[in-house]
Amino acid sequence: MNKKDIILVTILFLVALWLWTLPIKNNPLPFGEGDAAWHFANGDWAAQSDHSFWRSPPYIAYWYYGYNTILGEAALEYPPPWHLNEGIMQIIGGERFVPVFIYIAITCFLFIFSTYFLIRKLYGALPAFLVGFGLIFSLRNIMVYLWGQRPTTASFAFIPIILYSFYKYFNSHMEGKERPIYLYITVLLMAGQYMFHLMGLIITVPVVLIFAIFLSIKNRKFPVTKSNLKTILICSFIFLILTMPFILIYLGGGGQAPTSIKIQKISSLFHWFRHEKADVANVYPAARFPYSQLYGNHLLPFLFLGIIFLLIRRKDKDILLLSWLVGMYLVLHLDVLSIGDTGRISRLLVAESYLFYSIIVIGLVNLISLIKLPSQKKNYIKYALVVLFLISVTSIQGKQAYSTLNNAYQGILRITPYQYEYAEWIDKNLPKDALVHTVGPITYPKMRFIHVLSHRFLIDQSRYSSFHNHSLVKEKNLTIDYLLIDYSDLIQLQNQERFGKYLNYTLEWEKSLQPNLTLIYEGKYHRIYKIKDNYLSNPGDFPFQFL
Amino acid sequence: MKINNKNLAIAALLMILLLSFILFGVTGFRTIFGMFLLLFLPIYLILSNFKLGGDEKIFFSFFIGIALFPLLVWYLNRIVPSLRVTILVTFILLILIGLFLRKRFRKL
Repeated sequence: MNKKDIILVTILFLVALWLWTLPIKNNPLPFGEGDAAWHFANGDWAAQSDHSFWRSPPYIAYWYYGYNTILGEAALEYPPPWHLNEGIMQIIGGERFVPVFIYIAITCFLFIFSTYFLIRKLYGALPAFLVGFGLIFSLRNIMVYLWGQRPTTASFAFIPIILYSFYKYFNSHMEGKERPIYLYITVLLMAGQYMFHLMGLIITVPVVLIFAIFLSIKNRKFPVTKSNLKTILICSFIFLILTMPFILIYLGGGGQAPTSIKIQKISSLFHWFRHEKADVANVYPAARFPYSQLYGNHLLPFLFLGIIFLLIRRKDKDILLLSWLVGMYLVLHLDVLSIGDTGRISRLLVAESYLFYSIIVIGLVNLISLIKLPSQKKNYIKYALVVLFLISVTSIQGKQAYSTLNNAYQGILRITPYQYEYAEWIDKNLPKDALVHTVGPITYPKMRFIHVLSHRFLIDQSRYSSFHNHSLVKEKNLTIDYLLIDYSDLIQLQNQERFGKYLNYTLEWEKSLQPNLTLIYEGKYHRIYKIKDNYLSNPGDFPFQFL
Repeated sequence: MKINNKNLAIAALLMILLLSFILFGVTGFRTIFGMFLLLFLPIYLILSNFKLGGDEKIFFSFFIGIALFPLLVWYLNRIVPSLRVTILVTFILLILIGLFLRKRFRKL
């Protein structure tokens, strides 16, 4: 690493750290959607209980699956590393939220540095810096970070660095000067990627295979020979040793493998990624962003130019990027073979920006080579284009990114200090397996963060019936023994008709339940009751839906 | 004064620590320094024993460390009763492996 690299990487890191931590700088309480709360819960419990776990506590276990068909009740739902790191951060940072959210921000923007590294090693410092700079403001990645599919995002960040180490190994093999260390590094990185989230490997594996095939054809050499068979077997063994203990998490986790291949949606093959709104509704809002907004209309022509350059030049490094492009295209069309649904597949688009920005920059810096001019003039034009790129990215994508991050989950859209306070009271005072019917918090993610911070299973009004009908609840004869009514959000919003109505209804409803309740804790805006006899209210009666 | 790469890298780390301190106080400083110490340094010491470029060692170390350090913590925590103690044990263990490799093996 030379001086220029150290300076450029430091600049990128400082800007990314400042920008991506804006949501926690403005308000140190946790943010994100329901998934964000669940992911936070796992690391939080490890740190708070001073022990990592194989069996989740009930408030985590019942959340999604509750039962792994192979590993049994309350088994882990993800390999431990990404979540356990959150717990480690709490311990080393000495605080419950800020260290975790610094870690989350860093793992979610790691893709900037893995892509920088790949492009730096293959194409030089200037293209790498431009790619890294553009990626800092990549809105799709920022939105996924804010919403909460954070281990997936972190897993995708491994793709460029894995491609680099595999490229180094495979090139050395093709040249007959084998460097097995790069293959060992590749499998360690792939195992790490798997540990963060399986989704990353869905892109990495086909890209690596496609690259191996393309390069083998180019060099007319078989990828597996007598000389590297032993290395490949050892590497496969290392990968299996590291990953196998956790494979059952996915196999018994409730997902269904396709039973038959059915060809469908053929027309989508003529698009990079095509989806109906309904396919991605409630699954992955990032898919809704138009490309003009993500990359800017002014940068998209460079994407096509970059692809043309790669196709014309076809050096080994160009073939790597083309393999990545082909691999991405293939995995984005798995639904044509009825493997995975479009909504789930659309999550893979998070990794698209690394590839597209890389190709855009290659298009940009190579554009100048087309023009016949003295080299000094070419340099001037090159640097003028670079400056234009930096200005346009900063003024368009940068502005958008700043405003998105700076305004994320403001006010009562995030759990408030008041709610955090009573969550801590619940944690200290209610039985560990208490189930708490909760009414009042205005968003589902807030409800889930209160649930996580109180270490108790909170059942909101909209899920009350479905909770009672859950097979696990029936089987274990679980009953809801506590009621939490929190008016703190509703009082702030009571001037809006909808919330005013809900506030009045809840007050009346609370009054009507009094014979069945014993007050155990009262705050300025909330009350917690012990329910004398289990009751079942009709959720349909409530004139309320989460924001 | 001539600035070599090592000094520049230390200066870069200090700048990052300074920013984390400015943004989040001692908590920010502790977190970033802790990440460097636990998730990067032990694997870097191990990879230093192999013929890799300086930048390769840095990037590979962080990406391997961030996933494999907690994995090792998780396994050891099956035996060691406290997570806090396990983090320390894992750190020491990996540092010892790095030093052992340095002493025992020539560059591969």
